[in-house]
Parts: sequence; C-alpha cells; structure tokens
Amino acid sequence: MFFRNLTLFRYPTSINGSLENLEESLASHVLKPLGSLELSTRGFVSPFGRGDTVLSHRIGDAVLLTLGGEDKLLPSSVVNDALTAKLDHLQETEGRRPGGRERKRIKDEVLTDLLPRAFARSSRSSAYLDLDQGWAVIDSSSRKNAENFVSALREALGSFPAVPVNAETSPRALMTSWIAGEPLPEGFVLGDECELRDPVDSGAIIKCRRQELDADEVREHLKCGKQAFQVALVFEDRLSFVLGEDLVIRKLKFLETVTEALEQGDRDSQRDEVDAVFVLMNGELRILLKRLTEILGFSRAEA
Amino acid sequence: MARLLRSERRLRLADGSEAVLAEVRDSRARRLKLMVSERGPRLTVPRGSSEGEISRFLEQHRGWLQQQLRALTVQTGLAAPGPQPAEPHALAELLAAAGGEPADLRLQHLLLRGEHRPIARIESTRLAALAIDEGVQLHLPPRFTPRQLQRVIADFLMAEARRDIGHWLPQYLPSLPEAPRSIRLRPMSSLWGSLNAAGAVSLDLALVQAPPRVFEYVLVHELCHLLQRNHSPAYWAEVSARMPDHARQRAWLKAHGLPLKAGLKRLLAVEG
Repeated sequence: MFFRNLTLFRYPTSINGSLENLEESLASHVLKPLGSLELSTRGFVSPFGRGDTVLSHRIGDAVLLTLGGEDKLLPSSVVNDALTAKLDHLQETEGRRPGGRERKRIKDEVLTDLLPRAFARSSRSSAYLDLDQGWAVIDSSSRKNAENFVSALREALGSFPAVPVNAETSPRALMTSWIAGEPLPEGFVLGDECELRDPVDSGAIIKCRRQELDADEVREHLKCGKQAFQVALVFEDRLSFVLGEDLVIRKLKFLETVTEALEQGDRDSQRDEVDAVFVLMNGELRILLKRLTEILGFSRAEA
Repeated sequence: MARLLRSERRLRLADGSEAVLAEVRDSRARRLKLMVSERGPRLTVPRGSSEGEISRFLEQHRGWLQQQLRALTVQTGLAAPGPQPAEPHALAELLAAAGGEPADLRLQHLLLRGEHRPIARIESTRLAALAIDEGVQLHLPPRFTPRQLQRVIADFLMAEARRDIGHWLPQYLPSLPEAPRSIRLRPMSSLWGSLNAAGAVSLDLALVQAPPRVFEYVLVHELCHLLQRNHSPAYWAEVSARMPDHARQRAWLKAHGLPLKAGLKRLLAVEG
C-alpha cells in the first residue's frame, strides 16, 4: 500500500478543528453498494481493507483515508448495438424510423435493460492529510481522480478549502538547469528517465528511459532549445520518483534502505501491516515534501 | 461548412487614409456589426447580406470608425490603423536575438509588475529566462527558434504570476465557501479573468505585467464570484470588504488594459 503517485493539494491548517469529528463525518458518506440502475457510486471505505469499519487512521499528525468507488462497465458499442436492433425492429413492424426525442427514450430503455446485467468494477484511491503542514496527498497521477477525492472530502466535511499545489518558481526552468549540468539541491541526484519537449505548440517530444541524464546526447537536445518536462530523481538513496512540470510525483519507489525496516518487524494482521507501512511512508514523505517546498517554493494555504 | 469565413476589406476614410477591416462572414450572426479592438476594426456579416447592404452600412458608420481608430492610435500607440501589428516590436527583436541581427534591434526590457526590467543575455547550454535582482536573464543556447524563446518567456511570466498568486491567495481562502478548483493563466483576448461553473479560475497572463495591485484586484474579483456568481451590489460589497480601493484598479485596467494585452500578444505572437 505504498503510494505510487502523488498529487498534492494544500489546505489551511486553521481548519484542522473541523477534523475533530472526522470519523462521524465520513460515516455519513460511506461507499454504498451500487444499485441495479446506477452507473457509479463513490464513498469512503476503511483504509484497512474490507471487513474493517474504521474509516480513518490517524498516526500523530497524519490521517490516512480511502475513497472507494464502483463503476458499471457498459461499453457504448454494446448499447449502440442493442439500440440499432430495437430501431430495426421498429422499422420492420411499423415501417418508420423514430427520430430525436423518441430515439433518446428508446436508448434510455435499452440502458435500463442492460444496466442490471453489467459488471461493476470497483476502485480504491487512498490519500493522507498532513495536519501539521496542511498537505492533502492523493495516491494518483490523474488530476481528475485527485479532484474527485478532494470533492468527496469537501462534501463529507461541509468545507475543505484545498487548492492544487502552487510552485513559486518554474519547475521547467529548474529541471532543465539540472540536466544542463547545474548542481542539484543537496540530497538529490538525477535518475535515469526524462522527458524533453520543444516548448512550442505540438513541439517535438523526446522520452528517455534507462539513460544517464548527464550524457552529452541528452544535453545536446537542450542546446537546441528543448525544455525538461519530467525528470527522474533519487532522494538520499531512500526514494526515487519522476518529477513533472505539473508538480505531480510519479513512479514513486521506496528504496531498499527504507523498506528493509519493514521486513524486520513481525506483524500478524493486515491492520498492523497498514499501520507500519503508513508510519514509514509518512515519515519519508514528510522529509521529501519539506525539501521540495524549499526547492520549488510551494505556497502555503494560510497567511 | 465552416461557420466563419474570414477575408479583408478596404475602406477609404474621410481623411483620405485607408482602413483595413477584418471581414468575418458568420452564419450565426443576426445583423451587420462593426467593432474596433486592439486587433483593429472588424466587420461581422450575417449570412445572406447583399453587397449593397454592406456598403450602405459602412457608409453610415464611416465617421464613427475613423473616430474610433484615432482613439485607438492614441491609446495603444499603434502607428497606423489596421489589423496587423504596426509596431516594429517583439517578434523582430526576438528574431534579432536568435540570428545575427544588429544588437540594437533586440528586446531590451521586459515589462513585469508594472516595471520595465532590463534584459541581460548570456551564452548558455540551455534556453531559459530567469529572474535576477531587478532584471531578467536570458540563457541562450547555440541554436533555438524565436518561437521557443517566446514560450520560455511565457513560462517565465507564468512562474512569476504564480509567485504573486501564492502570496495573495492564502489571506483570501479562509473567508471563501470553497477554494477555486484550479487557477489557470493564459493570454486572454478580451476578458481579464473568469470563473467557470466548476469553480476553476482563469486569469489573463498579461496581468503579471500590470502593477501588482491591479493583478490582485482581478484575482479578488474572481474569488468573490465563489460567494456571489453575479455582479450585484452584494457582490461588490464582498469585493470592497477585501479590497477597498478596487475602483482605482478597475480604472487602471480601463485606461491601460488594451495596450497591455496588445503588448503581451505581440511579445508571445499569439494567434487570433
């Protein structure tokens, strides 16, 4: 359950008081089973997995939450086939081709027929709140998923003024300078992956994997005006990740120096496992986010 | 078929000069329309208009057009009326920066937060625009195109704008029912900012070139729409509570806004 991607939101810690009754607020927004005629449903589930009823897990200043969802899988081609069949049948029996409004009504009928038979796919996305620094960290690289999580939490709490993280420097200019050979901030070294782009509209894109980033062949691209949009970094031999100009942290990996601490412990239940991983992850990410805040100038959400 | 068909039309004015009108045939338009913006005069023609109708319409408004063009010339400093940028400005200067053109043609200053910041150029292994002390440093690699440089300057302005927003936003957040879903910066053609139904704020990138208080006003204006999605007296009361001198900032935009937008458009060579 280590987070793989991080989308960052900032919120004012002045609202921490409203998190006092978090468990009750979440309880009124739990994941409800999907009705036979519903397309999708969202709600909070236990971060400890199925079978547990606790909806949040707090350790010190960090709170772990999980948003669950179920979506019906109903491919539009299936719906259209069924619709065509019905329309053909109407044409044969009544000799007319329904248009506009009637067509829409027939389509709704088809959906009502098919929905109870469609498969439901379930999804989970976890996040944690750092109450001390005012972070909402969502385990997703998709902006939409992350926004859905924040909206769900906003609904549950009544108000949750979180904003997408804002950098007061240009991440592009900074990452480009690192590849060009400027010294990296202390504790960071270049990884083996990057994406360089010609900054003009629909400009060329160069993606490198398993490539030494300080090689001449990479730097040659910068000499022609390309900019770094994504760069892989390794932090203190403990974490590796790809930093994007959209400030999303992708492909996050906790390296051996971190995970070996986990292997020593002896844990029976899934609950203990989740607890141990969360403690470890939160400790590491707190340091990383603090350093990235200094380097990229992340704005705070309070005056 | 395309909804819009664009062409040009020339019109002789009373003072003997010739105005070049952008003529747009718009299938959705209801009536003939003549307007003047910093992009020059534009004539909108609905489907099915006869040449006679158009001529009569232009004849009728020729005096008005001349008056507007004169006002625009004074306001924006454009030398001649017409849709094309008449000032030998940005692109040529940036081109000069890229090629071996005489150095005195190059862009010497970049407008930022209401001040002209001196530009320093240095040879480099990458293309970048960085803020230094009171000025702007351009890192120029051996090969690059003017378009690339424009994008890098746009990225620089965007980072500077985000820095300002990062300073201002926190004090306004606590009194809002919800935070803006996102804040997007881009060159906008006629608006200074907008708030969409989902709660995402858009702001004109040109605002970072205006005096900071003006930029802050537009941010406050859009944030207050999270409380009141209208321009009612109740809405303006929210704005006043947060920024008592908002009228002065509005007045600045009215007086100096058009040339600011036109200037950024030329600098970044934005199409349309």
